[in-house]
Amino acid sequence: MRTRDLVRRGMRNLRRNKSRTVLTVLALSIGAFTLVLTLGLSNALKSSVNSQLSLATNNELTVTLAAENKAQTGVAEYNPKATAVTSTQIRGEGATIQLLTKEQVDAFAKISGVQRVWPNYNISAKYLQLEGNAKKYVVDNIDVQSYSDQSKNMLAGTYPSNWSATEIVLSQSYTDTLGVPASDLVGKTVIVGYLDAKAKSVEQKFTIAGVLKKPTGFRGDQPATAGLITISIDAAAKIYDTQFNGTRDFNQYAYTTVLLQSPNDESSVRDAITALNKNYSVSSLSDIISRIKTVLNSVTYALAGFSGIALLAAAFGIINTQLMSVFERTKEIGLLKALGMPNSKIRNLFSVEAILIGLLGASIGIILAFAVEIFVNTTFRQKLIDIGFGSHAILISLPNVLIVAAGLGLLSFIAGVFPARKAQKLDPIQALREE
Amino acid sequence: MIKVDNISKVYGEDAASFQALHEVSFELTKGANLAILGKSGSGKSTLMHALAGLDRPTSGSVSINGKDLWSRKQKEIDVYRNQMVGFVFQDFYLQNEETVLENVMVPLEIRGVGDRKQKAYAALERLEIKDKADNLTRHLSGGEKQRVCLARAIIGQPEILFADEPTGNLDSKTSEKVEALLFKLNKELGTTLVVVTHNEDLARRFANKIVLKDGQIISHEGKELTI
Repeated sequence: MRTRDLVRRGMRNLRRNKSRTVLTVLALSIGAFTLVLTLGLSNALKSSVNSQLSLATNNELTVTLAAENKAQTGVAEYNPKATAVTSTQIRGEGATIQLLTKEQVDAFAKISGVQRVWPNYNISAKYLQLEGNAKKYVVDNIDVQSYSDQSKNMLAGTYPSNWSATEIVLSQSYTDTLGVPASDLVGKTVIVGYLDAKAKSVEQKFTIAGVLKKPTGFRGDQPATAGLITISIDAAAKIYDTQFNGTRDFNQYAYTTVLLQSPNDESSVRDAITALNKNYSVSSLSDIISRIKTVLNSVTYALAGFSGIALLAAAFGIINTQLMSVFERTKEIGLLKALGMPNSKIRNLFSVEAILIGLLGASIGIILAFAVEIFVNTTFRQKLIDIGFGSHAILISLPNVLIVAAGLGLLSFIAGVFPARKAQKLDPIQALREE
Repeated sequence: MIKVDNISKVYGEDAASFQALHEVSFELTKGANLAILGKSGSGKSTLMHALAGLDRPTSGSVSINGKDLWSRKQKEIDVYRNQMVGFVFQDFYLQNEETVLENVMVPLEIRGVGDRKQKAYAALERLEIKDKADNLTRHLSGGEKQRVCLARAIIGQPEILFADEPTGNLDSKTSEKVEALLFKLNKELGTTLVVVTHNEDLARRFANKIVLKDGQIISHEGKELTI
């Protein structure tokens, strides 16, 4: 018997028991739907995380010094000569660390594979004033230059690739507040006012190189970043010197950033840093990405596992459906055998029927998942963009679809083995005599 | 030629065993017709099943055209059932949810023949039931069903046609028609015809006869039959 005829006969048999077939297919489609949707959600999450993190450079390391007494319980004795120990947030995580000295930071710059080192200057500014404009505006935060490509984030002007100490990049909030188009701001001079170590007001002039779009994603809902300015590392070092020289905290840093010559140097530089002091803790963007992905994968696997259980239950439905079919069609099986249909083809016929049920269930589940994907992504598109998640909440990929369809086909085939074997083993004469 | 050599068939084991055939032997010339007669339980159907490749005898051999049937591999026996023989059953065994055409095409479908509609229509025409080709078989009368069954049996142009009580479920008028068709096929196509029946009137029309009792041949007649 040709495969085409086998499939046609299988479909005809399934049509014959419509209600039973529909119920079994429905059970499978629910499992397939849940599984595809879970994978689609996971894809969207991963894609969102990747796009957020792609804006950051991947060849930077952050180095902190773990506090010596971190394992101690209770409170340590005060030592005025010791380097300060402080609690801080490093890349979103709380840590108790010992501050780094200038000598320690300078030592990192000598390591082979290191391009540049700059500490966390922890500087602040009071106000920003457009030259010729009487009004002054608050500066919420100062960022130092990034080495990653920020061109996608620019509203106007450029993000300098080779920063000078007098260049500045403003956040979109300033152009919104000033009521001046972003492109008109580029090239203008601004005055940044801050306090020196003796709390005396100091002003410094900068030229606007560009305007950054309103931040989205992780930073989008942080009001403190509204008044954000970005300056060069050199400018930050100069302000730091003015603000902290002569204070007790001068030349003590919570952490330092180490820029690698190439991402390939990460491993050797990490080793060289920890060789200097085993208490140095080195983290990079890849660590964060890896941690986020581990969490995402764990959630995905857990959800996929639940869908798998639903599919397993549905597989028993296939076994039941096919067993009933064998009992009901005993005479037909006897006749086909009497007319010369080989046992292997009888087995194949029932396997084909089981696989058809599986593929039908998978198809319906996948189509439903695609419908939900289109609905959710269309309905919530703007909201998703606004919160910086990306443009898709669900992202079903072709491999997802193929894996689910193939997996369900295989599961159905396995579920159909027992009934198919039962059919294959029937004796033609006994089967024909069956009442 | 069909050659049956000392075949016996025992069902079950030990005390519960039952001997349906007891050392039956005969030879039938190719193209002949044969009626196997006997009362219920005499072993008629068991003998026919052994000849048709449906039920393996416990001992002895069946040769078709000089080739032993039951020493063949299962695949070859399947091919024999599909290509060498045709079956007509008392209970028809038609697929009630399928059309007449679909039912008739089954042997060729199993054989893997692609273009089978023309052959199916030709078989239906021969049995004068072509106009019912697209009807579901459950809507047919008993006589029509048996003609469909006959069309299904001859579509593969078998060398031997086996019929088990082919008129058992039919009224006398329809029976006559079916009997006439069976002999027409035997004569026109040269198909060897082996019919199991306990219908004396039908048996009288056969040139060769075997009467079975308790699994043994108790009488026989016919020029093309050798015991």
